[in-house]
Amino acid sequence: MTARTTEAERVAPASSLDGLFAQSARRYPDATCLIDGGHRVSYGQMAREAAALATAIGPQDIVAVLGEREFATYRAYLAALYAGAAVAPLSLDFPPERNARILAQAGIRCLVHTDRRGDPLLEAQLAAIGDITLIDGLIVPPEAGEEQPPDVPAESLAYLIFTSGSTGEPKGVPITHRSVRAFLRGVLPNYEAGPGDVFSQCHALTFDFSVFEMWGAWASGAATLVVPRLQALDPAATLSRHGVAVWCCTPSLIDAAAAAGQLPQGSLPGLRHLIIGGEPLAAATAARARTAAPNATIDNVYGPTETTVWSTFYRIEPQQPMPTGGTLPIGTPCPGAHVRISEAGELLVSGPQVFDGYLDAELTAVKFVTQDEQRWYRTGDLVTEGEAGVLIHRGRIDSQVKVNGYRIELSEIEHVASRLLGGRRTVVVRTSTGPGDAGLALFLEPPQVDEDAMRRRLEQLLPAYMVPRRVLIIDQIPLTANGKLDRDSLSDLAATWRGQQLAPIEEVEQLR
Amino acid sequence: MTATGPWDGTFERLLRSRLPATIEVALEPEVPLTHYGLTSLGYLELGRALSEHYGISIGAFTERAFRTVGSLWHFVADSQLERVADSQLAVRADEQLESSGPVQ
Repeated sequence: MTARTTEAERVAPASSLDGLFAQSARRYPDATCLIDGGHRVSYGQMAREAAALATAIGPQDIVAVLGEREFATYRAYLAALYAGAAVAPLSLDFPPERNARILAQAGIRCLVHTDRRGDPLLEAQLAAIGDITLIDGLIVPPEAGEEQPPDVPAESLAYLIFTSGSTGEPKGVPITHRSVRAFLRGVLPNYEAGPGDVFSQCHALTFDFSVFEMWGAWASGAATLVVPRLQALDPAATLSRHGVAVWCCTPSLIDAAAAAGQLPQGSLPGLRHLIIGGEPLAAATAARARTAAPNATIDNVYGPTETTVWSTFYRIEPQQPMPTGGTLPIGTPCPGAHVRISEAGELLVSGPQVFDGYLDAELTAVKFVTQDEQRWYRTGDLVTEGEAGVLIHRGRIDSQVKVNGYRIELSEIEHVASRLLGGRRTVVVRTSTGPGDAGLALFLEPPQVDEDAMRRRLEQLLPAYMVPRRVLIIDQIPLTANGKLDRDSLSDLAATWRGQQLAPIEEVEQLR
Repeated sequence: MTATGPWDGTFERLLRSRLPATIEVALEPEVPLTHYGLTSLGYLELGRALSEHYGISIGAFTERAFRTVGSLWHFVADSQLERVADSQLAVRADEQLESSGPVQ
C-alpha cells in the first residue's frame, strides 16, 4: 500500500471536486478508483476519459446525468465536473414527467445519457423532455491530452440534488464546491482511508449519501465499489468478497438484511467503518450491526441534503458498550459546522456546509433564520441536548399529527411499541382523518402478536388518543428507492382497510 | 403457469408471485419492474428465487438486469446459456483427457 499522507495534506490544495479527483489521479494514477462488477478502473484511465468526454460537453452551467450506476455513468458525472459545470444526477426509476420538471425548474440545457439511444426506458424519458442538448456518454472522443479540469471557484455550484417537497414539486438543493470541501475536510480524518481501501457505493446518485460514497473514496485515493440493489441486501457476502473497509447504509437496510438472515454474527470481520444515516437509528438496529461487524466503528450520521451529506455524527468504537433502548444520539457537529436549538426545539445549522438557498427563493426565505448576524438553516428536526452536548433526535416537526386537538409524535408510539416487543421494528402511520378517529395503524413484520393484548399494554403506557386502532402484520416493511422506510406505501396499504369491515389479523397477510 | 412472453412459465410464476400489481395484467417485456410494484425488498425475494431456481449466484445479478421484465429474462436466459456452454466445455475437456490415454 502507498504511504499515506495526512488527510489535511490530501484535501487542502484543490478547491473543487474535479480538482480533487485530478489531484488523486496525479498521485495515484494506477490505483483503482471504481469497481463495477468485474471491471476495475484506475484513476488515470477515469481522469483521461472524463476529460475527453468533457470536451464533448463543452461549456455548460449544469449538466444532467441519466443512467444506471455503472462505469459510464460515473465517468459522465466526472466529465460534467471536468467541463466546469455542476452535475445534476437523474434516475431512470423516476417517472419521465418528474425528470422533465426537474430539468425545466433548474433551467438545465444539457443531458448526458449512458444508455444507448433506442433503449425503451431511455426513449420514454427523452420523449418527456423538451429541446435540450443530448450527449451520448458511451461515446468518448479521442483523448485530448489535457487532463486538468478547470478547478472552478469554490463558490460555484458542484451538484444539484432534488428532494421531495411537501407541495409535491421536487425541491432543488444546489450545493457548492465550498460546501462539499468543508464536509470532506471535516469528516475524512475519521476514516483514515487511502489507496487500496474500498468504500461501498450502495445508494442512488440522486441521494446525497452517494456523495460521500464516491468522494470519501476519491478524495483519499481509495476505490468505490458499485453495489447493485440486490447485493446491498446481502452485505455479508458482497462486502466481504470485495474487502470493503467503509460501508454506508440506512437503518432500514440493516433491518432488512438482518431479517433475511444476511447479517449473521461476525459476518463482517474486516469492516473498519460502518456509517449509518438517512433515518433515525434504533438501538436494536445498531446492535444488529455491531453483532455482524465486531471490529468496526459505528457512526450514526445526521444531516439534511441542505447541509451537505451529514453535519453531525455519533461514534461508537468497537470496544464501547452499545446503547440500549430508543434511538441513538445524532451526536455532535462535524468540524466547521455550528448547531443551536431554537426555542421550539428545532435544530438549526450554520457554517460552510450549509447551502445558500433553494432554486425556489420563496422556500429559501422560510427555511432560514438570522440570529446573531449569522444565517441558520432550519432543519425541521426536533432535538434535545444530552450529556456532554450530545444531540438527541426527537422526531420531525412535520411528523407530528394533530388528532382532536392533540399533537401526536408518531415516533414516540413506535418506540413504546418496539420496547414492548423486545426491540422489534414498528411503524405507525395515520390511516384516517375522519372526525373523532385517530386512525393510527401499527405495522409489524411477522411473527404475529396478539392484537388485543398489544393494545391493552399500549393503553397502559400511552394516552388513549395515541394507541393505534389496528395492529397490522405485513411480510416486509417496504423501503423507498433510497433504502429508507416507505411511509407513503404503508399509509396507502392501511388506507385500503378504511371504511371496511376490518379484517382479523390472520387475514391481513392474505390481503397483502 | 403458461408464459405470456418469450420467457418460461416458471419465470412468469416467480415474477407474478412477487410483483403485487400483476394480477390480471399481461407482463410486458419493456415495462419497468417498478411499475408492477417491485419494492426494494421485492428485489431480494425475487433475486433469491431466481438464483435458487436457475442456479445463478446472487452476486452475479446486475442493477441493469432488474430494469424491465424483458431485461431480467434476458439476464436469466444468458446466464443459462453460459452455464450450458461451461458444462459442454467441461465435458469436452473430460473427453479429451480420456482420449489422450495414459501418459507414456
